[in-house]
Amino acid sequence: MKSSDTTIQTLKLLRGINEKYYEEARNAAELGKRVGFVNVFAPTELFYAMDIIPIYPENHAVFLQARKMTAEITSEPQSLGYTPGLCSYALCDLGSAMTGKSAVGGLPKPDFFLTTNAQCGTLTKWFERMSEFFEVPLYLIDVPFTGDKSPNDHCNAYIQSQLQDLVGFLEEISGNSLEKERLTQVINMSNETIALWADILNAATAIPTPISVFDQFFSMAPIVAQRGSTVALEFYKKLKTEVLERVERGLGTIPHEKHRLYWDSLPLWHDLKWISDLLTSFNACLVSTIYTLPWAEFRLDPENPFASWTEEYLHYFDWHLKRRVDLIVGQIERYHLNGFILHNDRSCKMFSMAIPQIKRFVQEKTGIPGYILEGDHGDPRFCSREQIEKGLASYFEILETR
Amino acid sequence: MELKSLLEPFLFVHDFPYHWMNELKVSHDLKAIGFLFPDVPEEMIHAFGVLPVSISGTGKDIKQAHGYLPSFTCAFNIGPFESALEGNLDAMDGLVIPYACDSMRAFSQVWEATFPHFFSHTLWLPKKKSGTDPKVFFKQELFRMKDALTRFLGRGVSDQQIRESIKMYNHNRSLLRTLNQYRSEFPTSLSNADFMTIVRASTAMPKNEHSDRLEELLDALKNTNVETGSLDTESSRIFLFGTVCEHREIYQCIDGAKMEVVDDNLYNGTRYYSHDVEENGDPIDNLVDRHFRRDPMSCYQYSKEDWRQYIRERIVQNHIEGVVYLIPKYCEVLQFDYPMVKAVLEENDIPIILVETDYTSGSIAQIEIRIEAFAEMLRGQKSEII
Repeated sequence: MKSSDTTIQTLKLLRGINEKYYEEARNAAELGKRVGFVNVFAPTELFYAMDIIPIYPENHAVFLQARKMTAEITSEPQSLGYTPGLCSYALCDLGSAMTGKSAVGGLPKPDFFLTTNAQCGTLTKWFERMSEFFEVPLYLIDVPFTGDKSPNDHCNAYIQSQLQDLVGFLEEISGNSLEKERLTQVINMSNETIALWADILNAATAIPTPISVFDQFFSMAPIVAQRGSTVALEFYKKLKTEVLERVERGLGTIPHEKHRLYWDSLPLWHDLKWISDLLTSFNACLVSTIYTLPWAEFRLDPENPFASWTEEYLHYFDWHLKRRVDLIVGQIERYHLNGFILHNDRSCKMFSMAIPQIKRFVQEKTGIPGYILEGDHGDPRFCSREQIEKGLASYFEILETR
Repeated sequence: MELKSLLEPFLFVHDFPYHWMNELKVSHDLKAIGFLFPDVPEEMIHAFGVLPVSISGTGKDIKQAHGYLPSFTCAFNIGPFESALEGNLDAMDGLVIPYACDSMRAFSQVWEATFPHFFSHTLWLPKKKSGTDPKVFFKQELFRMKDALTRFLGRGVSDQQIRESIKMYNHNRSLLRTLNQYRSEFPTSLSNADFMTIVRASTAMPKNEHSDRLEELLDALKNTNVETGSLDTESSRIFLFGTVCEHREIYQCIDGAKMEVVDDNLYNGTRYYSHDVEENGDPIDNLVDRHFRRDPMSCYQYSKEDWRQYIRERIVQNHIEGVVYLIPKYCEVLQFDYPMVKAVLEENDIPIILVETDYTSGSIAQIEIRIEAFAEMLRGQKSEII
């Protein structure tokens, strides 16, 4: 297979899309818009409907880490007492705020912060410190942990009430009223974009897979940050078309796809090419991951989006151990996988705590061996290439004998 | 009776924290419900006629639990897990796990999946502490906890039974406050380590038993002027900032450095006995009210201004000279708050030292050196002023 055949051409559009997005955010004041720093699982449609540009510190940290700026940019917060043991996303963004250094040409000053503990508690503390630094308000959507999807009316009521209150908070900051008609338009466009993303991920069931998890990592920024906009919609239309063409032509993303694997938790942003090349050397392709999946599964009811957002906050962002086991078992069957890698991510302790038990339960249910990769999504100081190389070599020996 | 022997019941619980749970199971077939810190309303558990017992296990050598939890799991989660795997919690019938941080949230899932034979209930503590929504939500949470205990135990509980438990717990808290006040007036009366041990024992003994022993101790202290503490009137007055510290050796380091813990914000410290619950009226409403009256804590959402106000008040009220910021290894909430707390203390010219610990005896030598150096620095500051 030619190397050009393993590359998805549409991904080349991303650089321009991202540059334009950050440029518009920097010019928000001139455009009469406000800027909110928000977590990735946020009601993005609400912002676009109210002329608020959402900026995602997590995405920005990814750019910093991919450009290998972690060590340089985290020295400032560490000199103030932030310990290296903290989430590397948080340290990178705090460092960026303190030094003004950025991997995207700079970020605008935020008008507010919005986060939730549903995704992780780290975000609440990280955003507390950031909002203090910028001296702007922080809104927290406080979500009880009900990841097992048990129905609880008082939890629903608590979140719905906070979301209604959030609208008032945003109206006050932006000076704009939330208009139902405009919100519905944005939601319809968002739902359409989400459906495209779902189709793209679904196409990865083909053998060989037309789009790897690495391609998904690269191409997820617009679905996170700009769903509900025409930019995101047009990008995923093009991406879907190319991916489906690749299925028809039988094009894979590595020369010899022998092992098809699931990846759990965050990527190694600081070493993506290295880990990708390493896996390719074992003829292994990452086909499915939990990390890109949420944006394929959200669906907002245009008639009652607050009920949909409540459901997302309460039952989706909060991945319960049993749900993760069921998900991996399901993905193994659906995507025809023969192995799974669980990233024990030092920088994301919340998502990693259950990993030893998840591995045990998935192995029991499928008979397929898994591998726990000790790493860090953003700080290479906590990630040993040598250890990963040795570990994966042993793991693929096991897979080869099956 | 000698003071030393009056301390024995408390020291015994420190050494054998699950003694009462085991003993009462055998002698009275009494059920025991464990709980993890923070802020679980024990009164509710007690009202059902079962023994609430705090489960810790910090300071243990971890042999089996790392097969189930990652190496970066904090001591407050891995310790209880190891205890359960060792069989030390076999007499326990269930566990209430408060959702206070990411670690607890993940722990609750792994615990439930690994030990399905225990009754398990996760209490969803709201992170917000202001406004009416969190109060409305938390009240429903207490009803959910009550319902879960009712189903498990096969019997209900009346408001009057909850009120009686509240009264018993208020009495115990009042005694602990009296002891703390006495200590404040007579710093040589009781060491930091002994005081902590007495509070710790309150979380694992039958409440009446603890109150009875505590009253005997208070009588003896007031009547005999006996001294067990190693402190003197020149000791530096410090605030111990953290979450939980029930490791006697750490307090002994502080004792050895001639510093007096005159205030703290620990779940097993002032936070455990400072706030009584109203005894009249709706007991659930009163438990909710107590929850929202408590002081700022890192696992909840507070503004820097809230913290600034709280810290200033405590510095002035208790004549604080320095702060020991005790971070359990891998505790992100305290790690995130440290620079903010440090900045607020600098505004008030109060020195702070960061001490990280995994609560194993291996880390004690280094802690001792750091605490001694901090105490030396505080003494130096004092002599300069004089």
